[in-house]
Amino acid sequence: MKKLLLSCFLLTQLSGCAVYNAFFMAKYDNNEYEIVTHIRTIAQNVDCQNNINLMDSSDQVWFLSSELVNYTQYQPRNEKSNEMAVNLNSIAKGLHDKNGKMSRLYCEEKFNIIKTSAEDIQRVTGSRPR
Amino acid sequence: MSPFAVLKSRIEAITYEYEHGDLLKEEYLELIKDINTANLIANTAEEVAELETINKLINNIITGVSLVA
Repeated sequence: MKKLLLSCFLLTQLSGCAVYNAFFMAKYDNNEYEIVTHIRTIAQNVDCQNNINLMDSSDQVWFLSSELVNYTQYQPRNEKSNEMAVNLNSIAKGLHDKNGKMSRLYCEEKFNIIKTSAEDIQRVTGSRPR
Repeated sequence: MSPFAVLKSRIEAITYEYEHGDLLKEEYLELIKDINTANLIANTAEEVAELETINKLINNIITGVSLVA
């Protein structure tokens, strides 16, 4: 009962818009979560000293992030996910454009940024209401 | 460490590598831009996490009310 009263009290402190958006927010989506997990795993396992692996990983990350943009684009009440996907895709695009010609440090930093961002997205898409 | 401090230290580390390592100017500028974009993603994720917390509160209330009723 105490928890219920506390929850009611906290809700009254929020604006109507925030409550509305939260109540009707997009639910957990397996496909969305899977694509982000793939991106993170590829970024985590890239070998920046192996040019074939590097080019392959760059292409995959770029392709999957483009897929995530397209997937989230027309889902109702999922604008925030699309916003994050667009940003992730813009990071991956630079990597794809280099076509394997990059310094080792650039490669490591770039994939590290992609890994961190994918993890941020994964954290929120994974804890959405079922 | 605050998010701002993390951001600052990463920019400083990359700047150091640019000045002393083999990072090209074009690569350096792109990485700085990417750090900013990654920060935008983190901020959006934070907003979504807040909505999720509110959603849990609402669900608690709905469950609580139906239990009481």
